[in-house]
Amino acid sequence: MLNLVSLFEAIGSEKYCIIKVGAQFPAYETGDDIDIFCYEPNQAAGKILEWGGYYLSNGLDIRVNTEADYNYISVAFVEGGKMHCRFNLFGQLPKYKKLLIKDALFESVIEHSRFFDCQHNEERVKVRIPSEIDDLILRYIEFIEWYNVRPDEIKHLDYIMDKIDDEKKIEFLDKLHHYTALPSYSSIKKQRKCFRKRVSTIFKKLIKRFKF
Amino acid sequence: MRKVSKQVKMLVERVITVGAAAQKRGKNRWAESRAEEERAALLPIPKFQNQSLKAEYLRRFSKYIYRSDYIIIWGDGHKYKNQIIDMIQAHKDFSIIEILYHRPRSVRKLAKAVYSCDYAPFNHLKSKIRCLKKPPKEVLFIFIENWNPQEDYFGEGIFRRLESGTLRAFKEKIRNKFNDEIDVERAEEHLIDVSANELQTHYVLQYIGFDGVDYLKRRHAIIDLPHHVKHNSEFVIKNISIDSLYCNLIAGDSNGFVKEKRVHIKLSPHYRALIKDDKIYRNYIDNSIGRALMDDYYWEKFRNLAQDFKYLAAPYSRSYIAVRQFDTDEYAIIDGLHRAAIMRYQGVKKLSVAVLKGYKRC
Repeated sequence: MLNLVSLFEAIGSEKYCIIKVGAQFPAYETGDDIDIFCYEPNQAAGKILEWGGYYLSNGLDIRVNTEADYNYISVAFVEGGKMHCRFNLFGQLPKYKKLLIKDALFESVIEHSRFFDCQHNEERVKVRIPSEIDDLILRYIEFIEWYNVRPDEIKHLDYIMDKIDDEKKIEFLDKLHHYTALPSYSSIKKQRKCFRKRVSTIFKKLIKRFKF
Repeated sequence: MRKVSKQVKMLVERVITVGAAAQKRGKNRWAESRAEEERAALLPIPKFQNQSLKAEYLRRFSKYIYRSDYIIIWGDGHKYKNQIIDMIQAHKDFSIIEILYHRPRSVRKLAKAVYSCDYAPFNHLKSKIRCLKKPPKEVLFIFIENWNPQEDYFGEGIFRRLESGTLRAFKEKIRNKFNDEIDVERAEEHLIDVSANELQTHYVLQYIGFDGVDYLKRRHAIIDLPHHVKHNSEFVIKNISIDSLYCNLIAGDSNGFVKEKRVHIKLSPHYRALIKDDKIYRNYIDNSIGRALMDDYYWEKFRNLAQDFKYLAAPYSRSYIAVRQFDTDEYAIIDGLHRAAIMRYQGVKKLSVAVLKGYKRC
């Protein structure tokens, strides 16, 4: 079991925000993902490596995967080929297809984050989590993006319905409508065209390679 | 039209050396800045109370703090190369990044790359090229990090240019020491030359076939890897047995020919030098440096490192030995052979390494 309290002490100087914190946090289940928004994923990943060095002698490997185009790094702790726990570090909003989201939401989530007291074996640490409204918005986006392929994503909607009251509803809808929009038919058409173009260029490249 | 007239004027100024004609035109150069002067000023290093904070600052901003420069040792200066390299290593503001022998196909092309940003008169350049044509037609490039460039304007009139004061002083020191004396005066032999600005280094690196200064300043975003290790997006940090490490011993010449031989770490000259005789290591380095091996290696540095080496101790907590897996439980070292040899010598059985996925030599 990784001691996440000491990890968040180590990355305390970074500007970050843990997304979708579970009720048992900092405890977690094997195979869990911990999503973190941060301004500098490279620095955060470096600090996770320094902290995780202790666990290498316990038979864990640390697998690091970088997607520079999306400013995304995943740092996975692997035990005997099976994933033990994974940190997803986002330097920008993940790409969503079903909603158009303004990039500024990412900064807004980090800047409006609040401290959350968490404890593990008498060790305490304050971690940054999204404000209540941002948390609801992120869960709503997640639900919209995945509800048709992953039925269990309904849990996010249940959570929102449970937590929201009339006062928060107005604030939630205001912020949601400010930062998001539904993709128009023309933009979907454009995406399809782009996809067709991409496929045709791949084929053209392949044909060229076989020719020469 | 204005641009063309400016270029013509520049050509005329350079063809006619400084003298009566130049005095007539006046000594002031144009107020417009030249390309190499348009770079942002280098960042200073503030005083840090905390060493780890300083390491963090250097890691994040190193490429904006130091200047990449080069020192060329021309054919005539090869007899003094070891002394010159010793002097560079001893200089507190310089650290060697890469040493590279180069045999130019055309001296004129080399001179064009080296003096592309030089504002010396053409007559002076001609005399330099004449010296370069003398055998041996092999030059030694030493690329350095210049941590205290002390940039200032040197020269007169049209030839006034931005240069590193530190490097200029170092060049004069070398010339005073090694140039012959004729009638109590220093002979104007061309033993070495240095870059005036970073743009010149950029052009020379491009001439050799690299990407320019970016190649020397390249840093891995997460772990500490040297610039010559190709940065891939996926790696695994894992604990492995030190006996599963192999290394590639290399030999090569200045034509770019490199021969590799994979051996177990206990058979490497590095490990054998630590347990037996340093001559093995010295010979290996002397035969390969600047050709197949381009990093700044020498026995004294290695011996000092071995004395009190602690792997992954702060501020080098991200300096993992980089390896590539070539068989089940067998790894070839890409970077960190010296450190691995020291650790085997210290009796370490297991160590953490970074296994680079899909690594190919760049």
